[in-house]
Amino acid sequence: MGESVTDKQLVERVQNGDKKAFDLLVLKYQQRIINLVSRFVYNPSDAEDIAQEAFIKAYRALPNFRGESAFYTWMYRIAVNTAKNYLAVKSRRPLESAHDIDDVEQIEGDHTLRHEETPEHLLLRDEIQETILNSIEALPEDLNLAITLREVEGLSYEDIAVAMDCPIGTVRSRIFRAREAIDKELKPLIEY
Amino acid sequence: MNEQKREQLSALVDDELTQEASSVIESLLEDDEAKETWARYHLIGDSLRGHLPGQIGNISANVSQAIASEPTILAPAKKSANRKSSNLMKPVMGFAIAASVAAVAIFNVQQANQISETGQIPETGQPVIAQSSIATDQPSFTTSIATPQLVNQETGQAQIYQAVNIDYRMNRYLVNYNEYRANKGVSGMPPHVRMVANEPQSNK
Repeated sequence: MGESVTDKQLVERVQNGDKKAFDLLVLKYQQRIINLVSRFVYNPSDAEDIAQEAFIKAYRALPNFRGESAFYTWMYRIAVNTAKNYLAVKSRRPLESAHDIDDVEQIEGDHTLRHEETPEHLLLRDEIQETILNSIEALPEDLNLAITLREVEGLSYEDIAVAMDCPIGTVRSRIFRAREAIDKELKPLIEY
Repeated sequence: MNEQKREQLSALVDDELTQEASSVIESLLEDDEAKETWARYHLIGDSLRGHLPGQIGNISANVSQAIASEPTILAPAKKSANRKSSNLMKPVMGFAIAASVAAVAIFNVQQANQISETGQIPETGQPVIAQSSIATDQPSFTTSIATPQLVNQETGQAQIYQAVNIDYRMNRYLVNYNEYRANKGVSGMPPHVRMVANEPQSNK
């Protein structure tokens, strides 16, 4: 993962005493970190607590963060270590299956491993995912392609402009309009 | 938040905002609605990439509350800046080291002079010095003096010190000789002494 310029700016702001900037990093990465921690613990509430603790640890350690790795890479290690410490304290294995604690890190998006997720929780997540996918399917082709190339394929605006044979400004506009359309459907489901 | 700001926010999410990034972040920090949009835009990406957890949580409020009681971070200057300044300081450091060596040399010469005046070796804390005996050409006058030659110094510094040492020993020799002559009732400098030579002592 390449270094995000936005992350770098936010980190520098926090390092200069701007606590609010850290909120943006939490809002950006919280789902990924909770998802990561969920590979170690059964209970979604525990996963949230550990993720929360990991972010607080990261905030305290930020003065020592020199940007030699991407912020998320650094945050990832803190979250994994926090989860492992939690398990060590609790003296229990993270999963019923034979997965070793280190193997858990390698498992990506395997939702079948989480046994304590309630149907309500899964329903909300599935509803969100379905809403997003339906919104994308309903988009005009140029917007659909632009947002897919960006979010799924991870292409830069410049690369998308080449792929779609249009100016970068048009790419930016298409991606924005796609997000607006998806967000319009998503907003009623999510409360912050 | 108007449409232009939202489009900028979308570009910021993609890390594709370079020039206006700072001002957009600034306005984002002050606008709760914009923060929520920022979070949802990232949620869309997480969902499409399969990064959503089973339970969609929002821990930002709790984290924010927890760090509110934490001391404000003021990180030290970055290493790169330190490296720059250390590069600039290198010549100054060189002078400082040279000055320190010179100061040590002067200190030892002063101590050696003190020895010549008192005839005793001071016991105060001092650099390690090698002692050697110099026998005068008078059989009844043998004295042991501390020669200010530092042990384990680099060759150049040792040479400087040896030169200082020779001067010191010669001066000491002449002083002792004159004192001896005065004790014997002979005054003035010996008229036959025109030149004093020194041969370096070989280490045994």
